[in-house]
Amino acid sequence: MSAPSPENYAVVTREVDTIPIAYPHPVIWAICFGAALVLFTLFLIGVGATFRYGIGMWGNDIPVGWGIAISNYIWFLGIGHAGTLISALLLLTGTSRRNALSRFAEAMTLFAVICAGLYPLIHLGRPWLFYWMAPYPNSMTIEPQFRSPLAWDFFAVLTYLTVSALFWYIGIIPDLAAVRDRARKRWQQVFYGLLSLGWRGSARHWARWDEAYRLTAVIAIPLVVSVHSEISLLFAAGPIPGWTSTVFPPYFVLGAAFSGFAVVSMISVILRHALKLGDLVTERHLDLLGKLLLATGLMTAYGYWSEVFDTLYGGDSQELATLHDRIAGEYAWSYWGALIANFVPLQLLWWKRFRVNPWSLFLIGLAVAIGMWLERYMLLVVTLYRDYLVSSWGHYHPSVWEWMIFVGMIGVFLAPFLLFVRFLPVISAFEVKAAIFKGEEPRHA
Amino acid sequence: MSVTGSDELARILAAEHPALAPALDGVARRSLLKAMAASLALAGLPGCDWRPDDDAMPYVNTPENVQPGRAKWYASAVTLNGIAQPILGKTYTGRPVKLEGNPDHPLTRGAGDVFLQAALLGLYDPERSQAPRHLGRPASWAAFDAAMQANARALDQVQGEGFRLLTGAVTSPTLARQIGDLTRRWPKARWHVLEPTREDQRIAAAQLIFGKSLDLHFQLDQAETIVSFDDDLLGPGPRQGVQARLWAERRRAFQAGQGGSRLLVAEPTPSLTGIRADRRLVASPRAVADLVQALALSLGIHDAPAPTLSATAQEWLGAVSRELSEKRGRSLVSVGPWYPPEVQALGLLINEKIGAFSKTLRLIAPIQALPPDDRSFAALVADMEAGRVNTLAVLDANPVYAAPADLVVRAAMDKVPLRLHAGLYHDETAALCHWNLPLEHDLETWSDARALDGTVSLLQPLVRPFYSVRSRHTLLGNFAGGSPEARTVVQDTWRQTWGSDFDARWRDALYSGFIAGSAEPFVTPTVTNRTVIAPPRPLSQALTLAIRPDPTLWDGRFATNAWLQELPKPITKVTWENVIAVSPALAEANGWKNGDQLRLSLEQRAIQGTAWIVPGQERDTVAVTCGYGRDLESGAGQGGYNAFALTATQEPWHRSGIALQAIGDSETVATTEPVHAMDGFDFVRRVAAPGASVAKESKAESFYPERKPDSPAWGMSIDLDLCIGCNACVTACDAENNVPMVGKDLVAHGRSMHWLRVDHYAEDPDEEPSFAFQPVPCMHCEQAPCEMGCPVNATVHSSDGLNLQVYNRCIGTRTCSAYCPYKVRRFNWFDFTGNDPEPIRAMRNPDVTVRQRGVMEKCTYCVQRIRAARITADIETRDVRDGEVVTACQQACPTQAIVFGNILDPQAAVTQRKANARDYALLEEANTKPRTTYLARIEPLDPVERGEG
Amino acid sequence: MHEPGGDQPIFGMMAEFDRPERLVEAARQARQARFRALDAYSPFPIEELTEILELHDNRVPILTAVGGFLGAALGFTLQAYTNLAFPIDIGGRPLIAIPAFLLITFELGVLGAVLATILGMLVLNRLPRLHHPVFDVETFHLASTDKFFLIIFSIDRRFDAEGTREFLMGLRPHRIDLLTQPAARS
Repeated sequence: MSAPSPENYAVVTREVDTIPIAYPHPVIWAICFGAALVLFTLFLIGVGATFRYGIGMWGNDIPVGWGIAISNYIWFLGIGHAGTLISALLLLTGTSRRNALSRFAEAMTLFAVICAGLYPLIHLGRPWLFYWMAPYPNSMTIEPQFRSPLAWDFFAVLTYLTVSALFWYIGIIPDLAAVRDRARKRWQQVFYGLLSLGWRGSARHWARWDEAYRLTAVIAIPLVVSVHSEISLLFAAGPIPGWTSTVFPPYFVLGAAFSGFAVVSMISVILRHALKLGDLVTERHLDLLGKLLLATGLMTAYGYWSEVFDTLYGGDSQELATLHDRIAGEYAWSYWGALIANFVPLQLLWWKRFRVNPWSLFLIGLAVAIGMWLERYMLLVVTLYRDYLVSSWGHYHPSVWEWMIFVGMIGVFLAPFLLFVRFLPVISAFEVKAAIFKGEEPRHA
Repeated sequence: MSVTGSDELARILAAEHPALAPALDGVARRSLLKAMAASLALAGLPGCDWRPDDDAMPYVNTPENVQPGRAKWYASAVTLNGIAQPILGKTYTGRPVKLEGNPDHPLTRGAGDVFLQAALLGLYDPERSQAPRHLGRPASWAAFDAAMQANARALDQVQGEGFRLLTGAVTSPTLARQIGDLTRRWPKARWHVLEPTREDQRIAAAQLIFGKSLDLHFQLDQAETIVSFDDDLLGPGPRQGVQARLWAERRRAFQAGQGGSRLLVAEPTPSLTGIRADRRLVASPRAVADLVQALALSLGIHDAPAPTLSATAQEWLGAVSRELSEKRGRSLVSVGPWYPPEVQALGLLINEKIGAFSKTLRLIAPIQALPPDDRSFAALVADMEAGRVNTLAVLDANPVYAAPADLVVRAAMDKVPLRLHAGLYHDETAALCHWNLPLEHDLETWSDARALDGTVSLLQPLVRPFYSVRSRHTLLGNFAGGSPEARTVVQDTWRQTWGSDFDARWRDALYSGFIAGSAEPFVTPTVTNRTVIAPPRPLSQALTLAIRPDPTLWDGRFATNAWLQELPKPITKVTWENVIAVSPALAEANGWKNGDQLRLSLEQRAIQGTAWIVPGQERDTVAVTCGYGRDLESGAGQGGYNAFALTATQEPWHRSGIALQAIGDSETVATTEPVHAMDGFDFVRRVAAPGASVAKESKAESFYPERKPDSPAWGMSIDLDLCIGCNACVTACDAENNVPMVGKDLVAHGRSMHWLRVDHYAEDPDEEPSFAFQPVPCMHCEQAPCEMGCPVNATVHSSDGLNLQVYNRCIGTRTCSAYCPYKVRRFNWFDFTGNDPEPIRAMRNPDVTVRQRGVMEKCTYCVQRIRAARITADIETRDVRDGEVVTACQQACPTQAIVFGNILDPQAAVTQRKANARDYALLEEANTKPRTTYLARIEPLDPVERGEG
Repeated sequence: MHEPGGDQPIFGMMAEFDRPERLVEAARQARQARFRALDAYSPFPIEELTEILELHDNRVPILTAVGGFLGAALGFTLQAYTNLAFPIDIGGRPLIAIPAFLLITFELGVLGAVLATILGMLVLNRLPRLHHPVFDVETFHLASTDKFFLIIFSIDRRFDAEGTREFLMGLRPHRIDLLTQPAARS
């Protein structure tokens, strides 16, 4: 290990902090951003129509009063959790490898949580009254009903949004300062100057910053667990066969991490390629992601298995009927689809060469993202379309408006994410430097 | 400029606002402008004034000056097939908002049916014709009167030669008297009757063996064993309310261990009676006729060669004869009105043999007024074709739509120089008539009519007519050139009968809603003719077509009534259309699925309809219902097909030689219950004997604190052993709670809004299925999952145990519905009420909130009635008495299967019901502690089955 | 007060180093020379400096604990109070349903803790502060890239322009700047 030389620090700064100031491929970026805006417009149209004419524009009915709005809510939020988990866990375990991943993983969290948070609002029958979910002094002295899982979710998502935003922001301040110091254009100097709050890297500041950052990370992990456990209670608290199950909270949390790591893998592969970050996001990082994916995947698989086992072992006729509907009912495709997409390609990750190969990792991540979407859909629809009373069985077919909002929601995610990629340091440069200083990150020429 | 007398303006106005026309001849300026304002403001509701008719007598005396918010009750009646359904009408400031059966009526005792409940919407129906028309263009009554006077003068010359009056069934003494006067004045005039669903084959049967026509009265409360040969005793129609009530009386006695209550039914297609039967035999119409003959043979009524019966049929018949011999004098045999007079006659002779006469089967002189020699409708058509008719006055009948298809009415109509049509709607017949004269609805007119037993009800207006309409009595007078006032005409009838004490009795009759002691006395008939003629039997062994009145649209007269259109058919649960019911076996053989479009052809005519597989239907029987395929100018009631196109004068109900083939495409059917199998679950539980108790599940432990409910604690008990699935409760609920109708597409989409549904189950549908009905309102769970799920306290529990839905607090998360194990909650997916036409708004029950878009709603146990009762009780500083709160569904139920009350009051009926061993909670395993519980069905095995089992 | 106020004409003397190791070494020597009012600037956190300059500040974790506790307390009292103030029977559940209430209690606890931590950190660091005398140093913009600075504030008892310059010279820095205060200058 050669003694770290100042050039190395400079190189890191150049590689990372140049991106916001002089973006490498502005044209490609513009095209992507344009596409994202188109999707975003679709979102506006879909939501507009729904607000104008009523939620009846969707495919929902009685018994299936919830549709992909709620299953997507769970899906997006699950994806979000990975960012926090990766960042916080690796920080606390002192794995310097996080430095390359944490920043955009956290950004992904932020925007995924925003998407998730929007869904419960637009799916309301009277969305303009959404704020009744929040406690506030009012003449009727009626406050939210705090025994309801929805009330829990309201607080959970809000807290999670705030915490992940703050965690992400204080993590980025020192790099913003670096960008500020390199900025030549006036607007850039002002913009980054304001964002970086006048950070000057004082040892005193570093000391407190480090404490605060680690403390937040410590708190963030139980937060993630609690948030998705609550989301799972949205189902598990209902007395409906297929939902009332104590396995749901861990099952959901693991599934969330699983889907999240999948998306992080996809994003890191893309960024690595698009922004030429090959020597920052190295094979070791991909390898790490592959292992995380495999581990959480296997745990999720255990969740699947234990659900089936519980049902068979418990032998409750209604639960058995629901299980039957899952594997052989009208929506069996969602069950088998989830099973296959989640766990079959996953097995390749046992071999290192598939973990470190960006494209295989990307494709497996994609499969898992789709598989987990199918799982959320299955858990929601199959349970509702046939519950206790045969007489009130029904169907659910999402309407074109719901699909439009779904596709549009991806725009809601991409547009800000692309802005982040374009204007903010996507990699935690100062932490890389710290790692170099500690000799944890030898630089290859 | 001066408007007065401006003919030009009058003409324009008449064209623009037909209903103003009457106001136009010699109109005064101010009234004209006023009328205009009203007309323009109320969008087709000209001069709409919701004032009560001052001459009408409210049921209970309230101060003459109407107090807003205080309901007034009027006793009156609505009619079906001319037969009175006695009602109490609830009105607010002159607006009728709810109809209920008249509990004081000696025959019905408040029992009613869906048609009674839905009559309210009939009154406000925006589809009604609202002003007279001549040649399709708006006209004035004055013009009509002038024309009639001229015509009458002409007819006077020729003693009414060529004047023909066509009516529906008439039981109104006043109308009968008027017709009598008319025919006396014009001896050569003729009166004809067309009532598509009239039981004339029964009347003919009575003719056959008694030599005179008599009405049958089934004393179901006396009959411990009832054998129904395809007679839908509990099914829809004018008889339903009464017969269901009588049957329920016997059934309740049986439940209490007094005597038996057995129902044995042989029928080709499932009926409400068949579903309620202890033993149901699936038999083709032909086989049913054979069974009647075989039974008659076994009783030695005739010695014709024995028909060949299937093994199951013989076995069933064996059980029947055993029962009949055991229960001599306490049993009854009835043959469906669908069967030829000869078969019916056999049925009567069997009843004579088993000693049913004047015990379980009473006979009375016909309550229907009939033409002296019942000149059939066919005769009229013949005369029309022969050009012997020059004035045809159609009064409340629709021959063009409902006539048997072998009569070419349309062509015949053309041959009549002057055609008058008086009806509620501008219907198919109206389209072919010179004059269309809008009739007053039963709820806004003066008239009289007779109930099944002949008891006369006075029809008094609950509200002053708000369209430009006339009563049938006035119009009949108009036809003869006069212009009598309806109320006077009716009064004259009774002044003649009552003489001096008219005033007192008139007032009493208006208060009570019926004329006491006006029922027809029972007659003990003498059988004059025992020679039995073998009934004509279809030669072909192929498919048989069974045509029946529709359970919700009847003969089509309710085609524009959304409550009835969206009311799920009791058995198929299909809405907004009539289907072609085929047996599972037949569908299997031809590869038909529900929704496939079939072409049903008979002779030269054919209809196209939707295939629907009905478990328990006879293999080679195809069942269709009348009432759909209407052709109204508004386009309403177009769903389905017109089954009258398949009827024939001689064979109105059963046809053979039909051909049925799929035309390839398939359509979605708007059904509220896609699956009817119970899947081995025990939603509907059964016990083998009245005393037996249902298998209770082990009491599940609850995490939640045991709460002592404070009194009153409202609860409901529904006796599945009494429920006949008639849907009266559902319609009553729609009316009471302003439940919006959403139309075919949304129903198909699973968005029907009924707060109360009647689930229908058919188990092991392939062989002979066992059926059950189960009304499911909100269970008002004490540990309601829905309340726990709501994040905004929009659904909460009241101190008296109601599961409340707070509409203006609801933000529409639909969590409550997701968590509801019973799925009784309904969601306003769109704004279902915003664009209701003015009359519909006027009809709404002011005590019940109209729900906004995006909020959840559900059964409230009629909380408005509970609160009203509580207020009264508080004013009188006492507790609410048992039976003081009657929910709409409970009130409407003809069998009193639904009981509601304070479950903490040991004396309360509901408490005693719930103490019954048959009491059980639906989905006990969900541990929601529902306040609504059920009593299990009693299905005793009969000796034979025991022997076999 | 570890930095000179705006009234001081001289703010301090700053030495620039090109390697973190050198900065650490310099800081250590400055401490040995019993300089007290010191600070260092680096592109990334250097734990050794925290040791040497004795910058441990346990107020941040205290804030975390307090914030967390207050948040949780607020969360629970909010739910308990609203239910007691307007008691409604909800599905037969207890009025104070502890298990159900704990979730929101926890969430608000977390929110309180994190807000207190991060806001506390910024406040203690006197951030945001968009301008600061050290920015006057020509090469200071490299402090966020690959240069390392040590400053001895003028409020140090042992601070005197000449002696301190001598001392810093001994540390063989790239360059040395004397920082004067704009306020005093004018």
